[in-house]
Amino acid sequence: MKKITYKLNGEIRHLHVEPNDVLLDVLRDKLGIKSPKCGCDRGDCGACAVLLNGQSVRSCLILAIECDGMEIETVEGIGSNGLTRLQEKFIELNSFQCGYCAPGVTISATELLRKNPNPTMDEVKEAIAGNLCRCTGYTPIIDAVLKTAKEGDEHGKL
Amino acid sequence: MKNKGLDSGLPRPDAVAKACGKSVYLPDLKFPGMLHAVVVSSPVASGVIKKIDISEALKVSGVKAILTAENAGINNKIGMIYDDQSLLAEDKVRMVGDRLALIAATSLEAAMEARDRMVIEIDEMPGVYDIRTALNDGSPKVHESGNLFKEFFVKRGDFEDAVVKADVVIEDDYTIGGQEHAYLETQGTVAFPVHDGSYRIYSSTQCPFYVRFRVARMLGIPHNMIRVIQTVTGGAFGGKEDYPDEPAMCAAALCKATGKPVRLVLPRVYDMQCSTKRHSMAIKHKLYATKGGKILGVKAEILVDAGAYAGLSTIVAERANTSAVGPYSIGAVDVHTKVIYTNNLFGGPYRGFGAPQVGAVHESQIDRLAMTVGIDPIKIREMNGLSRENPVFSSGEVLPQAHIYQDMLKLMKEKSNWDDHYNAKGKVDGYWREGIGLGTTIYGVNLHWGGSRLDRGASLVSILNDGSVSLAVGVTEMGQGNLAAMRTICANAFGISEELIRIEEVDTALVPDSGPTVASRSVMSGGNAVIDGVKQLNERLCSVAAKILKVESDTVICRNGQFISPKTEETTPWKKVVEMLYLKKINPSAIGWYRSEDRIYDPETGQGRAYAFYSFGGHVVRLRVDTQTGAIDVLETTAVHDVGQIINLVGIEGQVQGGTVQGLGWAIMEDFRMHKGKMLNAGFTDYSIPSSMDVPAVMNMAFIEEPEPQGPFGAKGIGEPSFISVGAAVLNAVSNALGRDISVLPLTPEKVIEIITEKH
Ligand code: FES
Ligand code: FES
Repeated sequence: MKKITYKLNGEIRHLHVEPNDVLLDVLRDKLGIKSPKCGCDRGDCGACAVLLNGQSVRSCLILAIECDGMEIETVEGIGSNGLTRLQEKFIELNSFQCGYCAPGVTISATELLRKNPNPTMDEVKEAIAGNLCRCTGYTPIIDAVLKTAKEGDEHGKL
Repeated sequence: MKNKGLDSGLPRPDAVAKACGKSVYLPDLKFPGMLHAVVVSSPVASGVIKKIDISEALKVSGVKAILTAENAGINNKIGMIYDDQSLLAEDKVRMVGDRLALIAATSLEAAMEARDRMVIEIDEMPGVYDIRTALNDGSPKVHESGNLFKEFFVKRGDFEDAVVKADVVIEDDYTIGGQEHAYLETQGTVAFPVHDGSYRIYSSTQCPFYVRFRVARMLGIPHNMIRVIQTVTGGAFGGKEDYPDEPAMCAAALCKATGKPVRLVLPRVYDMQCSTKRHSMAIKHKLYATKGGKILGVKAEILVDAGAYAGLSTIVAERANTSAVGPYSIGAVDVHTKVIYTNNLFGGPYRGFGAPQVGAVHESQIDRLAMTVGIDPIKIREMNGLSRENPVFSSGEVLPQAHIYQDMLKLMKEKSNWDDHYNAKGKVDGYWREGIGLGTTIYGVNLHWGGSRLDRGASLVSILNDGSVSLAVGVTEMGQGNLAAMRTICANAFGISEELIRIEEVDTALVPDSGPTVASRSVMSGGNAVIDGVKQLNERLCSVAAKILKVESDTVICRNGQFISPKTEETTPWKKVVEMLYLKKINPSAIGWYRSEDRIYDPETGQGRAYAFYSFGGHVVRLRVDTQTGAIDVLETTAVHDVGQIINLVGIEGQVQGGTVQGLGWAIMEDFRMHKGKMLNAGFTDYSIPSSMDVPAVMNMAFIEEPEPQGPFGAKGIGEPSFISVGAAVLNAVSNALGRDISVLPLTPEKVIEIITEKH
């Protein structure tokens, strides 16, 4: 067991982990963060995506210990001040059906919009290419991201 | 005409929770003292069990129980309809993944360590892996009874006469691949012991009543000792119809043995290998036609690869059998469907239920006929398709909806710009060849006659003291938008705002057994049950309102939350009427019920009323094929569906978009690589499903809204039709691009190259 520290959704959290503990399991089982989902457990589906120092990563592929001292953001944090505009668009456009892919998609799309507030359709497709969704055919997800960008926000809020 | 639903435009009830990652799926559940389970399963598809030694595994710290067929103390025969399957293998294994033992431990790691310490010896035996030779003499037998499990037929008209009169015969032997559901949430369950000896089962399932039935039977206890709660379900597509019962039974057996809550969530690779799949089929199809393009007769032999157990294969085969002719009115029909045991993957329900496989074939066949006699593919469908003049389906039914097929063809032609593109077929751009193709389908909404005893649905509608409504239904939400549809139907039936209604999670203790949520029947059976419940309450409400308004009760109606007397035009609000209902101690709840009409059908000839009613669907696909790599690039899809009254427009659009992309996956990308019953590409690394990069640039949709008298407010079903004819359209488009006959799906790059390099 090793003691490590995360800044998780803006909060400093200390915890003990084994060297082979996986970030996804630690978030879900030890830290009570349930939004990242396990869809494959080997880096193929993107359901487990979280932002690590602002970069989206697949938390099923990362050891918890490697993230010591880093900042982790999940959908719990992204939506902590009420719905983001992106989430509002997801809701408005019926972007999710079963919703199991939603947290991962939200992470990838949020990362994209933070880095590139005016993405093209192709850039949106690329940004979520690692997030499998079996239900929607992606169109309503892509549309929501594009619409969020297009409608913009004077305060730069997502 | 712009389509519009009956809904008020509110987001679906689960939209906010899902967009915020707050929905609680099965793997998110945690209970104090909960144990973690793993399945120890057979790595070979056919063999005799020599030894299962659990003694070393039991020594692993944290292990609480290891069950085998010998010590489990359960009713081990667990088949869905036929008792050909065991929860725990007894002497033989018949498929990769057959369960040898179940382990429960305080942690998943401990359970997995115990699995590694099990000593298992299986003598591998020859298996049955080729459906075309499975019935040959000398083929190994999957079960003692032989490999031919069940047969279905359609026999209609004077077939010999059609053969004699035909100028043209179109004939081929098709190989149509299966498909993995690839729901994003794998199968999972938690079995929870209740203090009175009963069990609560949480399950990611489409069919909680199936789970209740099978768990109770396995434990040998009354059904009322099992309560099943459906957790938010992360996709299903048919894959969570019957299969979820199996993990539920595993967890329940371990729960009984340990007295602790037990969680079993299947790892993705195991889930892909072992859970049910779309059936692979081999289909011989023969069209007899005149040189003018009129089809006189159809003969088909359909071999359905069931895998090692019957599961629901017979039910799927029944639909394939009835659908084999397609949406055409043909005088002479001879269809013979055989459900065959093999040691391959476990065949089961998947969106379309056998109709996509036979659809790819009947649609390819009619295109070949069109080519042979020199008629445009749409024209030939107009000639042979169901219509007001030719309304007789292959079941012998005269379909009141027959003319909609012709309306659909017109719309498909128009929306896809068929004439322009078809005339430019085979357009060459470097190595690319462009093509366009269409597929059409007829879909029997609801269950086939063979399963029609389950064609029922229930609701529990309760008006609470404050005027809000609690609605419980027995049909499930698996992503398709059932919650939204039920809410809209309920609000419209009452005449109140959708905002007053909350829908409970599906719980077998709340509503009577509503049958399965399959066959695109959730709107039809759930919706009708909701309307029935509301109707009973409306009578009570209206009599109360009439007293307030001082008019006759049968004249009062409720609109927009106001009870109105049309005579006096006086109104009284919903809330006040509810208050009065409570003051007068009138029962504020009602159980709504739906049952389909009894139907007559002859399984020997396939003649009679196979389904309650029918809908039509069609897709046009325009694509280009890279003749160097075999890659297919889909440029445009056009989907036209006959949906009756639209309940929820965005919901229906979502089904069509999702169904189309899933269909493209099946037709182009998704291929089982098999070796002796083992799926070599289990897992998303090697079994690729469409990603955002595979979405066609243009996806057109159009709907025909002719109200269906049997549907709630005239609605039909859309879940499966949205998928069915995509494969057919792709097959025909590739054939059109390459100028070759094609008799195989999926059209992976390797297959396309094979087709291109094949000699004629
Ligand atoms: S669970 Fe991590 S990528 Fe699928
Ligand atoms: S909504 Fe079901 S996987 Fe995306």
